[in-house]
Amino acid sequence: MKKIIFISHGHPELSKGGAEVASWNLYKLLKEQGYNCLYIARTDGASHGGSTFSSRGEEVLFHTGMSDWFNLSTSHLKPLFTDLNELIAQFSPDVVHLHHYAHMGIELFPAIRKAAPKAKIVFTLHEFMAMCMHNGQMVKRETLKLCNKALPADCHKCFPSHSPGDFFLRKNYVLDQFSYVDEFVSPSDFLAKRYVEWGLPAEKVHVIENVLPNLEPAKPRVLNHGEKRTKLAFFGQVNPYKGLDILLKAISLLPEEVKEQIQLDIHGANLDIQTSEFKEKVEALLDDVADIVDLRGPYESEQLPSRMAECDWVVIPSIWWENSPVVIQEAIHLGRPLIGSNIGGMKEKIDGIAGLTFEARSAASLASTIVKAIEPEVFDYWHAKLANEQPAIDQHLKFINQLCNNQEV
Amino acid sequence: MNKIKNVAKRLLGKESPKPYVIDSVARTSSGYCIVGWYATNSVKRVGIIEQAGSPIASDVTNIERPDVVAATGKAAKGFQLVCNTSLDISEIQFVASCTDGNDIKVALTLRGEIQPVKGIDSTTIDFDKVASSDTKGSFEYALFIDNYLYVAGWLLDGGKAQRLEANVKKAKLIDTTIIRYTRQDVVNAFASEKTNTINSGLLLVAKYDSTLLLNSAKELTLTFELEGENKEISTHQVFNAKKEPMINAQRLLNAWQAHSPSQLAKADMFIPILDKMYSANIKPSVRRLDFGTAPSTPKVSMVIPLYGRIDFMRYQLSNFERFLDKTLVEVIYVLDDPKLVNETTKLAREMSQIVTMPFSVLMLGKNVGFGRANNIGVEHAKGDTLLLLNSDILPKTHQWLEKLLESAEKDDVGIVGSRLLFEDETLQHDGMAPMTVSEYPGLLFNDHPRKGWPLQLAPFTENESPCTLLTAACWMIKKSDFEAVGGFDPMYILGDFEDSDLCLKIEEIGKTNVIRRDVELYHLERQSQNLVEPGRWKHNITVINAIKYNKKWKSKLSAMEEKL
Repeated sequence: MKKIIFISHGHPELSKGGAEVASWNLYKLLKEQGYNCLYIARTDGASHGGSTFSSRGEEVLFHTGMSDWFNLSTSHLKPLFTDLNELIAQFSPDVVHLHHYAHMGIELFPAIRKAAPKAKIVFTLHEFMAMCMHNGQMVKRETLKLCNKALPADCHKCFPSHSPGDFFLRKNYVLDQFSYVDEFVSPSDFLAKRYVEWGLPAEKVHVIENVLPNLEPAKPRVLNHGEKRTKLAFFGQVNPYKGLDILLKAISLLPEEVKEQIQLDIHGANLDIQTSEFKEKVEALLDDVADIVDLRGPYESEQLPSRMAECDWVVIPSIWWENSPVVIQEAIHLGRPLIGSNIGGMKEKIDGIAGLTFEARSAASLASTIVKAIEPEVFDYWHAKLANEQPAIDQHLKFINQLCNNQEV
Repeated sequence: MNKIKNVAKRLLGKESPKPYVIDSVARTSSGYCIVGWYATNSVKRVGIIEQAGSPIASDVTNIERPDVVAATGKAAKGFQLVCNTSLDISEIQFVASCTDGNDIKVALTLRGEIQPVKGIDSTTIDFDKVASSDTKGSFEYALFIDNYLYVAGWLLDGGKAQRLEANVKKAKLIDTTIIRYTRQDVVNAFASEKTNTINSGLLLVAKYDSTLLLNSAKELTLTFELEGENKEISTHQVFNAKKEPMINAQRLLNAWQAHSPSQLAKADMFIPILDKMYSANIKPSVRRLDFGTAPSTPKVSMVIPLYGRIDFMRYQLSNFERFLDKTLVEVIYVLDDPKLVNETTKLAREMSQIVTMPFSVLMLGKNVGFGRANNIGVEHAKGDTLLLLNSDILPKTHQWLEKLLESAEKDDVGIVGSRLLFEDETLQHDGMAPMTVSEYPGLLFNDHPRKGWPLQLAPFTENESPCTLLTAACWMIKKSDFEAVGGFDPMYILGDFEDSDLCLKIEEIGKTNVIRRDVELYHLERQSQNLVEPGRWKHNITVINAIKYNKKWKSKLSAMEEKL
């Protein structure tokens, strides 16, 4: 039986980021397929007796930390080069599938290579952290303008305390550590292209969408006579990059007769931990549209299908590029068309496939898109296009099979 | 408080007011400190930019300003902005980034206290200390080393004092050299008085017949004659320059205006003091740490001095691990910065786990400067060929080492250099050439022709071309040649000209230096050198090194310049 180790920077039951969830879904899939899988999730906090490892069910929790967020580097080398080394050597994997290095250190790559010299190392890219110090968003730090290319001189403008030369060194150091990776996986073509332009070898980067647990399609909401497709929903974190403020502003710009019919559910949390400036902005916008918007709060993954089924359209108005947001795949499988920003991963996954796009960051453009979208025939057109299929499952299985059998991928 | 009310009136008045106020702008030993406040409803943050518009790194500390809030009735934040820069105040601007998306940029002027001479510990103008009731003056400090003494100060004598002498007990004065010049801070301080402030500044170097031992400023008296009267003045502070050469070099050189021809002509007065401070005779202790097992007979020994920024070691070792043949090279770092021993040991231990490339670190007990650090590294080298490399170099071309080696192994070739690039792929080094600088007539400096050029504008036909002067940031040379000319000449202080000096020495023994233009490495130039306090003193050390270099190579350099 072939053996696969998954390494993620958080356990999906403790931290619900896209990378954690994507790695978890793939882990579950490969386990079902009969692979011998071990899931290692990095975690915060001290362990029993100071041990580097503890467990959560069948999963291993890895207690370590990162010390240098500029170089994405760690000085906690014993957990990587001694403890994890011994654990990996014991398991003796055929493939090590990494989904992040954050909180563990970019030296994770040489550490794994030392521990398992013959294993194939696969790394799935989830955002731009390696090339963009601004939380991997590729959005300028102060102005939040979109950034197209990580040039040292430009990075220095975002972070004046680091010279262009420092950014140059950072990039080279990261690329050196990435050189231990055999194959890269990117869930979107957009992200893959950016990383290849930045310096990853094109022949090593493969675009394969994330896998999802199977979702039953939900029937479209039953409309009353003369009613339109006016129930919108937003799923995700409430932070400046997710663009909820653009959506709220768009709602307030709608013609009165449309606005009267619109309902918006916000499924997500974390407004309370945002900066006061952003919080005040969102709160003021919420006040303007209070009778239209329902704040539904955070949700568990098992609650997603029923919550999403309540709406007609899922709106994803992010102001950053996104990679391949899980919510887009979920909406497609559940049978809900999307309205999304016309940039990056959203454009790639929605445009011509799953709904309408609007001029990113423009509330006016989003408002006029909503006016179009509420027409039942527009909804019906896109709804009919949505496919409850996951070609990614076969692609992942084929990819893993080739890796395990030392075939060219 | 009145000031604040006035400002508040302006702020609340009908004219569109400035949403910020700068209370003071002061020079610090390494930059500027700006204090003020801004209205938070219109200004997001404040900063400092260069003329070209790029930001200068600064530390902004916010200070609660309830006084401003009370006076203006608006939300406001106080700030203290500290930045390190060698730029003149006229070359920087204050910028307030407004919430409406606009930036307000303003020029700055120093405001507040009279600015002292840019010397560490020098006091502000203090005219309580007067020579006598009718002559104002102050001697801010003195420093001594062996039988030499340096004093800096000012005297309102219109430059007329005669027989200025520094007298100490137990040593006889042999010789005195004096520079008189106009000190702008003194001019400003006495602007309102009818006093002649011309040539008030005074720098004095005295030589004695025996070693000085001054325990306090009281043991030193300065005497002079003015309008027929003998006068006396004392000094505030006296420093022993045997210790802390860096700080004392700043004390010695921060006031000297080398660009003034009359002051340049007196450069020799500083040289014996500097040479004693940076004595080449004192051997530092060397502690060697080996990580991994280096090849017993490496083909190439790399010697890389570390100073200030040791983190470069991380990037380089990571790069060598990825691209170099471990059986071919030995890597020797030389830490020329004793205060960083612990930090370096820690990083070296970490890197020895991350990479399998063996390397060694030599920890010097004393800062000896670039040339001598290399000389010490070479003493430890086992390979027949040396590769001298700066720590802020990162190779670009594959097979770079092999290509350099191909040229270095030729019998008639001396030093092999390479093309060096900035991180934006423009030329940093493509060979050096002597150049004149208008401020320093008669002196030849090292020029980097085509610096900053995009590569496509600097095509080449020959992979290997003769080139006399090459920067030591990346050099390959036979160890026997390096040793035959005695390595780097230690007379240059803090790393300047010793590379071109050695280039000329190598050509004197009949070898030809060459540049390999098909080899490219990145050089993040001056990343480590910038760590020493910028300012006039550093520039002045370069001038002094230039004087030494030109004296030694006068005829050869003039011939080269004529050819160009």
